[in-house]
Amino acid sequence: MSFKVKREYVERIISTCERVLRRGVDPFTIEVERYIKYLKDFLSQSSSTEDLILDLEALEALSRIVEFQGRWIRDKSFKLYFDPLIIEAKVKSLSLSDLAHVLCQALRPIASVKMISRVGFEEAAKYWLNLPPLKDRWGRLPHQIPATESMSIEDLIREKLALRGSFSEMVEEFWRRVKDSSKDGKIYYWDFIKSNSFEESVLKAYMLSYLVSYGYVGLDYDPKADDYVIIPYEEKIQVLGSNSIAVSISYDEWLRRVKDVGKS
Amino acid sequence: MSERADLSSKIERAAQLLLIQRHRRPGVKGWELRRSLGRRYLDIIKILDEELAKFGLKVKVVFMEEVSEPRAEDYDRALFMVTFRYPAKITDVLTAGWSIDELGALAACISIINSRGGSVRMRDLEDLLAEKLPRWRVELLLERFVRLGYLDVKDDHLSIGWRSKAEIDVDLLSLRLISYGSSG
Repeated sequence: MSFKVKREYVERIISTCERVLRRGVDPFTIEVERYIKYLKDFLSQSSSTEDLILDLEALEALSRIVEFQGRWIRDKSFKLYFDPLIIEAKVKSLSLSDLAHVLCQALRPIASVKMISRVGFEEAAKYWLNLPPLKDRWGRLPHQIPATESMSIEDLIREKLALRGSFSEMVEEFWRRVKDSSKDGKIYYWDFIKSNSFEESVLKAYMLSYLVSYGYVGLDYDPKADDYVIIPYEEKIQVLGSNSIAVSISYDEWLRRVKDVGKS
Repeated sequence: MSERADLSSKIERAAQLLLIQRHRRPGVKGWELRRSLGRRYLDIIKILDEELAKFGLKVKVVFMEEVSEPRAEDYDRALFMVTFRYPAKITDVLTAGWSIDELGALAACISIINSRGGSVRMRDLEDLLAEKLPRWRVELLLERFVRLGYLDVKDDHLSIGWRSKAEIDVDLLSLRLISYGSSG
């Protein structure tokens, strides 16, 4: 190996040490002992002042690494308190309220003031100044088209703008279907709303939410199945107070639950 | 302008820059402060920090990557913001729009991630939270934490986000969690 190459290697030792110190990564990745032996060899062959300075710089960088290794061990031994299993056990054993109180002991929220920027303010002012009076804007609205067309009730039903029969009839019919379905045993929410089309599932979910809100059926959460059990009442009950249960039915969720696409 | 008046105006300017939110996320980058306050902006920030202490506030510096000995360029890339100097009262946090459940879930997320070296599979965290909250709510909460910057998501793994680094003393949280309930 030429001496020039050796010099470059020493320079590389210095830059590696500096990078580790700056980024705070594991200092034990630096092979201090091997580098010191190398520097000893380099020093015995070097003759110029520049080489001596380079050797000194490398030695200083390595000594800082050794100092950082000490600090690293101290930090890591302190981190032993945060054993993942202990933390997980603690998280599981505490209630959400207790966890919230613990968080607030270590929480220092950001303080900031929101205000409109100058550009935003100028835009707003320009918009306001150019905004015509309300009566002028109303005047610009197109005149009502006098021509009218008639639609039959069948057309309205086909366009899904009207229902066949009254809404209360629909509710009664749906309540009967829920009761019939649950005769064979426990019925889960997602099993019940399962349909061939997404629209049908949404309609069922909508009707079910109505039945729950007005005391026709109840919902009981089953954590094992991660789903709600539908409990139809024989008679409509008086709903006291209000409890909301939000069940989101996105198309993706419907596909996953109903079509079982996610499992394939 | 005298040197004293110049310093005073720079401190005022620094306070305005740090307190008034200009972007979607609060805080100002170091290089922005340098541009407005000059080369010695860190000295100005130090004086401002002392002034803010009177109001229970402090200047917090969030480095973009872990640094043990920050250099000038690390400060330039860092995010400077004003935070509470002391932990917030839970009543104040609740008034600010948080619910107890949300705070509890955030505490669980941060302490678990911290204890596992800074990154956790999203599914693992969801399973853990689902023991206390319905799964649909867990998904919404994690989404919200990511949106607000409390958590970062990359390749289906969650890590601690910039806002958590700014607002939460993560080691203190873990320490308090371990000692919670053991004293009484």
